[in-house]
Amino acid sequence: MTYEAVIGLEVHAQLKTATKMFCACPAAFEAPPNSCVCPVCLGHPGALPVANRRAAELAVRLGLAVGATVRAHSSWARKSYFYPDLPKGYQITQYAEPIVTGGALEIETTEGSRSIRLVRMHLEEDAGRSQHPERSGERTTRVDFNRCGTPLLEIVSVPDLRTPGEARAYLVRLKQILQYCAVSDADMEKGGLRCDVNISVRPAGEERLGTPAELKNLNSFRHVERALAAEITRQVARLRRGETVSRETRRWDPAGGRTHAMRDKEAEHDYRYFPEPDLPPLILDPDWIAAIERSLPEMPDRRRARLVTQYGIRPYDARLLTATRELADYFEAVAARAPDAQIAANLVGSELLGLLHEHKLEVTACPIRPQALADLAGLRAKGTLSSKLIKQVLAEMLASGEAPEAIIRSRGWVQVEDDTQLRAWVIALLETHPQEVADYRKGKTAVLEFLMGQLMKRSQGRAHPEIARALLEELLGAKP
Amino acid sequence: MSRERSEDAPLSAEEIGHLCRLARLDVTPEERAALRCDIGCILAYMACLDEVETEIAPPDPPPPPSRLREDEPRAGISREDALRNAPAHDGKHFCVPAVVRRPLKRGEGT
Amino acid sequence: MRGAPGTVSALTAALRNGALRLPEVIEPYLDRIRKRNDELGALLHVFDEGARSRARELQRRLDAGDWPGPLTGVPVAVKDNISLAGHPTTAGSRILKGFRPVYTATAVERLEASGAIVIGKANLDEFAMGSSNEYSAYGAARNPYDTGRVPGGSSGGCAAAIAGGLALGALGSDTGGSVRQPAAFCGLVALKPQYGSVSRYGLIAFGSSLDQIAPMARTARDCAALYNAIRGVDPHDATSREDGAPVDVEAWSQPPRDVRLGVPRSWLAAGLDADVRAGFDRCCARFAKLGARLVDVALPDPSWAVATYHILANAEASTNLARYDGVRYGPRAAGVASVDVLYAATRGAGFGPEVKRRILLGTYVLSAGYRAAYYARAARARLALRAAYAEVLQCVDALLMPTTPTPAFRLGEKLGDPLAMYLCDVFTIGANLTGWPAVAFPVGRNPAGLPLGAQLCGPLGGEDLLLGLVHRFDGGEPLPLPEG
Repeated sequence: MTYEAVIGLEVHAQLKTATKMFCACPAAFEAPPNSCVCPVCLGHPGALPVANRRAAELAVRLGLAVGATVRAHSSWARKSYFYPDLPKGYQITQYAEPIVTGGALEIETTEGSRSIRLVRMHLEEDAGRSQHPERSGERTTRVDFNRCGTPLLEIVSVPDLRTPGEARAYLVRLKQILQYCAVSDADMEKGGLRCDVNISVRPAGEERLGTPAELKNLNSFRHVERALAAEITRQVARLRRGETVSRETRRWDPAGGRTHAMRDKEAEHDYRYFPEPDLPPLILDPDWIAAIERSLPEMPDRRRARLVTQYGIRPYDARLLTATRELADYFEAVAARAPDAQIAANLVGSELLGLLHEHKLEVTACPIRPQALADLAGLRAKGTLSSKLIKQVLAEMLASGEAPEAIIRSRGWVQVEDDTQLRAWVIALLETHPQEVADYRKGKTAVLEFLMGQLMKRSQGRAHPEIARALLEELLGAKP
Repeated sequence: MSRERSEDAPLSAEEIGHLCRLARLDVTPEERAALRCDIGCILAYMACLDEVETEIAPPDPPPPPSRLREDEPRAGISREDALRNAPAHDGKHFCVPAVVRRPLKRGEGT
Repeated sequence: MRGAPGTVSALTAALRNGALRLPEVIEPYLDRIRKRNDELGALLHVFDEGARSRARELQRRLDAGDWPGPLTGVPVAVKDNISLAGHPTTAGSRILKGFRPVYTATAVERLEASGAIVIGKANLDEFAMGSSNEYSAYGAARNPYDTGRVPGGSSGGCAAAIAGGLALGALGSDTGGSVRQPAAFCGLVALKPQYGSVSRYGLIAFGSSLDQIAPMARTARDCAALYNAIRGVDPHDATSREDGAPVDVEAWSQPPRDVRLGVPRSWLAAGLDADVRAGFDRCCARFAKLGARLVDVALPDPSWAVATYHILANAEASTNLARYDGVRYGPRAAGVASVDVLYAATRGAGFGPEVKRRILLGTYVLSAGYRAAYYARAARARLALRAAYAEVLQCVDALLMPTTPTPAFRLGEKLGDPLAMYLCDVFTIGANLTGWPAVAFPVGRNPAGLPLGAQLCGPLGGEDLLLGLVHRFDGGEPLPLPEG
């Protein structure tokens, strides 16, 4: 019998606000411990929450971006549990009436694109951070409340996902949209995007859902994928042995590559939800929602399609260039100034990105102005620069900040098309490589590539490749 | 009430124990006995809500848009003030006895 | 005290025209606190040095021709569940022993900005849960009219302080009648403002959807002066409301012609003390004589309100009190190895029996399997009650009723019977559940000399109407203080 997995994700995204969800403390995660706190987020007696307008706005933005329903009337609830990093003994969240319902994300899978429906999104406050003892002898947990009260958006999907790969694709997509809309930095490594998973398996073709397990502690896309694969294997193995799967929370152990049942207190809860009396319902002005909708940036799918039609670039490049809003913005700034958009796309999408990656730079930190890159594209279009020279010039542009023409002029990097010069280089080359020349003449034409490489090296990349190749072939073919 | 309560059927000892665990509240055996009786009695009184017709409430008119806080940071309190009232701290953090995770038994989790 | 002004209005008038100077005004109060506070148990913390230096500072401003505000020089007690930065704020509980808040409640800031002198923090039932002040972890407060009797609760310390001559006014808090019932027992005027009229920022929460900081004084005019100082929207409290003009009781010096007062006649039947009934009838007669029209109205049986209140208030309280865990403030149980043990031990040792009862009750009504039958049902009953009250207000301008079923009872009388204690609030709870304003005021004394009280309640935005009517009723004259 074959089995099918049914997967739903609950993602917590840290919202990009200046202050916390319910108080004006800076939402600064890297600050020294307990330096961004106040009576509200420390849960001091008598302190009261007041909701952050920007957090609500960001939830609305994401809701609109994924075609969901933004509810003009939502409400707050208390979720009670005891934990040292939860100062009030309850978390303020949205329960019965979330701010956003519905919507969907399009994901790319090997079988094409699929639509993954969303159940809801709701606002809530984060907890503080507990530092548990690392050595067994130590008996103290240390608590820092800087993160406590920072705004989170919980995004709950319908269990429409079927494979670990789809779960990953969903997260990639969600992260992209969160970043596009400037709703969240969605940096998983820094805890800006946290993911819990519900997973069950059932015989293929069965309608009824199996018993789900919840997986926690998944702090990278790779861990989500690996943990799901391990959990599917575990559940299928149990069913094959005729055993049942129990409804439980399991922790992913990346080192062991398996999931473990959590048996501690965290797993058993009676949250006793009820409406938060300190906060009136969240009533949003329809005009405000409409204004947020008007301010939404173009979503990646639509932008990709537009880049193809507007600039005539290849769909592959359009997808690459719309990976982030910043990259697409940069590309469009270059393309608008360059004579050939496809060349601009190649330059940005492959040469520039590779170079930035080498230097561990984000596109937002790229020191090369779009105009300079457009000029380089112009030179490339005129055929005055080989691809090897392009790389060199670009590296110089990044290092020195000089304009491409200036670099080419000062380094003498203009492409050489002059027959006399090229012929001299080729003759000199053949004289120093008699063995290769002999091999070629015996029919091992593959040495041509080697000789071309040597020629480019000898010319410091300046030899015009096509003309040089023709000359090389000509002189190799000639009898000595 | 779906679960009828009367003075002669107060909460069970198990129920009181469960509530004490949920509320993280130690009570002495004497307190426990008294609480069982008192709470049972109060719950019985609350049964008077059974006779209340609660379906008549008309919906309130829709409230005006919420007053929300603008996203402008203000300094909170100093760390010194934050830790001032703490029963235990290390000068930077609040300190509590370690949160104990029951170790997994062999074979659990597979 | 001899010859000292007995009301806020008389004191501020004398300071303004220079007939009195502040240090002379404040010393007799400090004297009296020294002599009587041990017996009355009214104040938990006394700020004698602070009050003296503040009095000197205010007098300097007066001497410079400045008038700090309408409460200049008024000695006020603040209930010890209201935050005052740097000063002990215990909420009457062991679990906050030694706790000093790092911020001051908005209402206290506003009170001080009006020139008032906070003379001390007043005793209360632990976390404002009680109707006799006997549930304070720091000892009971006593009724100055008969020290064998309770001053009422939970703002019993505030009431005892004013009636005992230790202060001229007080800020209490009212969740189910906690300023009005003590006002009735101690012969005072107390306003439970409409929910949201006064910021709750800095008020240690009991039932957040019901709590209001509430002024207490000896006359309606004084109560209005305190209320005007503290009222209004606060950016720190999302449930505080924009409000209109301040209360002006002087505008009510004309007889309240055509004002219709609804009397819930059925509530006056069984269980009402004969003296309270007689006092109430005299009160009705006097309002009629002043030109008001008294109309019988039908309100739902008050037992509903009591049941609804205790489900909702305690549900909220069970979560509001979850923060007292010995992690960030308050004493911590010693010698515990794990955090869960720490919580239970700290809370078990820190909370008194009534608070434990309420936490467990509140936990129960929210817990899985019982939420629908209790919490959700009470939430609906609250809406139904609100609708029933609103309907009555179609035909009357305000409701008039006794404040309490009995005058002050003896210490210990109701300690063994929580339900009997809860029924002390049977008439006052409605205003908290509906959010309406309500004013309790004295209507004389019984033959034994104990004060008797009545209460005006509603409508929304009606603080001015209610205090104005009471001002007409008391004519600016307080009930005489007891001897002692």
